[in-house]
Amino acid sequence: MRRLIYFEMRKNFLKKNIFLVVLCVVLINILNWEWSFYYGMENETSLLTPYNVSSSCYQYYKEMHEKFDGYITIGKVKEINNRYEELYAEIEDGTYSREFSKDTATGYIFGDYYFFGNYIYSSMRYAATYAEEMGEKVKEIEDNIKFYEKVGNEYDTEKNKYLKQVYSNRKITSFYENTDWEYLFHYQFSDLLSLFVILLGVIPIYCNEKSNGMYCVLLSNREGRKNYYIGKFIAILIFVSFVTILFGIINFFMADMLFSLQGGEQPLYSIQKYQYTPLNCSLLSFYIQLVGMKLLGYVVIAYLMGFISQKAKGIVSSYLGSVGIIIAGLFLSGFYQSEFSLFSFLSVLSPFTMLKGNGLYGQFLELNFAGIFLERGTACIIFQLFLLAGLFSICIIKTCKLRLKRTIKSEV
Amino acid sequence: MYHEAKKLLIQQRGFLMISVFLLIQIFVVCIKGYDSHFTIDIYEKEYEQYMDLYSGYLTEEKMREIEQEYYDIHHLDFNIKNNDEDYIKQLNKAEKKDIFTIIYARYKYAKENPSEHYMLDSRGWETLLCHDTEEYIFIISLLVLTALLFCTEYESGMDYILLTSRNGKYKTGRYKILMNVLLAILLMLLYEGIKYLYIRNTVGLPHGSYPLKSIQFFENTSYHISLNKAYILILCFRVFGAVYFSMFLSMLALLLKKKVGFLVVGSAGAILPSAIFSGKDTLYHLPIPIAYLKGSGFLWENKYSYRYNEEIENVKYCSFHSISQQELIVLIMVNILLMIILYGISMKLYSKDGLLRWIQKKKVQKKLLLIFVFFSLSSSIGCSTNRGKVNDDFIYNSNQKFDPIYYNGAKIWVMEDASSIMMQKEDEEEISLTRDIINENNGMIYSACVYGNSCYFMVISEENDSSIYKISLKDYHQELLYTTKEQNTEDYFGLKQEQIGDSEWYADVICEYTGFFVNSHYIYLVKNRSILQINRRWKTSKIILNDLGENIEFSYSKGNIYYVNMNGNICVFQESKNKTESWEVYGKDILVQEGYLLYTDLKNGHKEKRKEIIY
Repeated sequence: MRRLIYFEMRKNFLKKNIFLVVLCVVLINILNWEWSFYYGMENETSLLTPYNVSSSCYQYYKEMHEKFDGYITIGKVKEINNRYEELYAEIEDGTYSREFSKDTATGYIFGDYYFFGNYIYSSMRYAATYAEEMGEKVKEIEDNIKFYEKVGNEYDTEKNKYLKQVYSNRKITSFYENTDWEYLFHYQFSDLLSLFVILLGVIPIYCNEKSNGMYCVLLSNREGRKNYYIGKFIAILIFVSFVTILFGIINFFMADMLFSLQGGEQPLYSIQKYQYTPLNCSLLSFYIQLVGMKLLGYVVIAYLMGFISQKAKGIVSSYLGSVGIIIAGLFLSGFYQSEFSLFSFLSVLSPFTMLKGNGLYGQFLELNFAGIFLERGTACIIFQLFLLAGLFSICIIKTCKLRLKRTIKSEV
Repeated sequence: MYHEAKKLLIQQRGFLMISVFLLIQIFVVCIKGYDSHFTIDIYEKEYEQYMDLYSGYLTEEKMREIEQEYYDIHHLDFNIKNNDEDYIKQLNKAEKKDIFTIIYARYKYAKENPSEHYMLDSRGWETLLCHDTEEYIFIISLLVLTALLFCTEYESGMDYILLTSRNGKYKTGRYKILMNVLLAILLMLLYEGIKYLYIRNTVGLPHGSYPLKSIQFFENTSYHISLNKAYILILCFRVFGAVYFSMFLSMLALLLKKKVGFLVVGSAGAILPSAIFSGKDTLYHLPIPIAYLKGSGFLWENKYSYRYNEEIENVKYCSFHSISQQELIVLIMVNILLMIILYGISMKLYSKDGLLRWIQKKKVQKKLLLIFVFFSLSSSIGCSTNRGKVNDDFIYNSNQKFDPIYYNGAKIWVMEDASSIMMQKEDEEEISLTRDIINENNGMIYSACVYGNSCYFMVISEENDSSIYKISLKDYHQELLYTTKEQNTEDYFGLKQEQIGDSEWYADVICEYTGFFVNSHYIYLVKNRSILQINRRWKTSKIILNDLGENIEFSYSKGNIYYVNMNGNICVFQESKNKTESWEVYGKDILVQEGYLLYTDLKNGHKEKRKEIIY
């Protein structure tokens, strides 16, 4: 079996052209990170780089973070608050100087107020008041639980119980720049590149053997017949895992190199956009989870492509079928944030939704499945695991059929 | 050539594939439709009438007429009591207010430079000229046909036989490339033809001789050409792109030899540049065929966005730099040169017989490829049906939409700050019905109504989207019934982009949702002066009324909508018959109550009257 998998790997994936393509897409991905960092963030308002704001503003921003980053103390909060009030008092009546001033950090009074208010004060206020705000939300949730239990609404009772469980005892204890983590979670260009590599590796996996007759040779051999489908199944799994993990690692290192990622141990909800995320994990573990979700999604996509390749007569029809799957899957996954039960259910069916983990867990999303409450991200993972198990079962059934045919023939 | 064509189109079922792709293109073009907007669609007749009157060069006479019409529409006097004709004239003017706002915005633009800004119905032209989406169907079809044309022989071993004969070695390669180029041109013309014919037969492409700058999107373009010429120019770019793309694919197919590698690498080559440089002018500066397949961006002017400068002022900056004519000429020259190189490399790869003999040496070939890559980088500078009659007792009066609602002795009302809906039962404390703590700040609750055992309410978001929610009054479960917000957010890795044309931009400004009501089959949404009927199950919508009067007065009872139209007449729309009937009564303040329609008669001394509802 191990030898068969090795041969499958060597035959389909450990080839010069595949390595060349992987090398090319890795280079394109690295170049895209660089390009995005230097030129592609003109419209990015939350993530500051030395290239989308002036050098003085950026330096001021970095200095402030150096000063206040780390464990949140009352002293730090007070200092930020006092500084903000001082700045606000200066610009409040509108008579502040519009001229360049050496005494200011950014060169202008309003510049100091704007940068300090938007990037330091508001972030610190969010972090410092998060526990209190969520405590109030939890009280509202408890009130909702009592209310819905009283009126006999099981669905909303379950939903609010779940919310209580995930939102209780939340607090942010440290303060770091985390918009760079947000950018890393949001980065999806490498998904497109991974898709191309997987497409290249998987679409000829069955139909090439059909066209050159290798299929008959393999099935005439006992080992080949016994493990033909499972061998391919595991080979695809290894290949897809390699591609996904490779891009996961490259993206992490590129983000770390360009933005100097800090505070990976902070909870996910320390990013303001993830305020209502149902996950209580850290930023780093969320990134690992995202890569894991992508891996699951790609494995399902690759098996579906492999399934088409098996049924297709040639490369062209296998390619067209795979492109069809990509377009339909992406379209369905577009509904992943829909509030309609039907649309959200359709999005859960698509393995491409697994590539959108950042959106699935960026906010609280529910799935009303015939009156049963489910958290949408978890529901999607469970469904895709079932789908994977279903595809694996098809492999087993096909292998068993082949074995059965051989047994019958030998008995005859 | 004949044999190649026969092999590809008949034996390898190329014709069949082209036919299928053409059908897909027809379907996609029909689904996409044309640039327009709700307001223009519902007042299409009036819009066309205005355009017939004012289209063309803006003369002094036209200016006077438009200004007069503007004055008339904005200074209507409804207090004329004695002369009915004058009153009806005033009402007719009021009817055209929304659509005239769009016409007037166009007039303002035309007035800035009458010699180059003509008035015209530009919906069709906007669809053709203001979008730079790629023809993905063209790309896929050409990829597949090229794979069949070049790779099949390598996979079957036929290439050895071909290369042993003189014609096979020296002519077949040339003819294959020529065949591929001809196919690309044919496919591009067919796809563009389908799009052109669809638009011509729907909204039409009138006044093609008018200047390109008549469309506000091209306000600052450096091209002083007519709309027809602009389209021909874009078509030429696309055909050039098709030729260039076919040359690139030919080279790639001959290089990779295997279908699978060719199809995947070819797709990546076509899609990656768009994904990386999505919405940026960089794409048009690169020597790649995709830029020419898009085409229209070459005519675009600078596009601007806003960001903060060092002085924290919100300043305009250029997010899309237009491509000047000189730059374009240089780019085309560079690309023609690259096409010749591509042809040379293709011939070399096929039969080692290139146009340039010196590239036969492997060392030189490698250097050439390096130069090609360097050159490429360096030049980057340069259906709903009507159902039976509704027989419930639900009554909705627009004149009472902000009043509290009474349901089984409980009082339901929208809080003054529009943040939640409250309910108070007799001798009980008031409770909030809206209990979604996650989405509580998604917008303002505009109005609410109770139908059956559920409370329905409309939320208007900051983006001016309207959403209608339902709360069961039994278990207080809240669910979304309908929303105007786009539910599918997929952007296909940044490949899907939308450009907003003039018509959509003008009309978006005046779009307003003012109320709603429901019955068991439909949701009725009031948008500007129209009522949209939305199927509750399938969410399909259609406009059933578009002539609501100035004050948007209507009442609903038993499947009938009673309303005051733009002429001041009271009318009734019957849902079961899907038809509108006008009563010869001029009224206002209408109200359905206990089987009667109450109204104030405007003709007979503003007396309050009532009429029995017999439907």
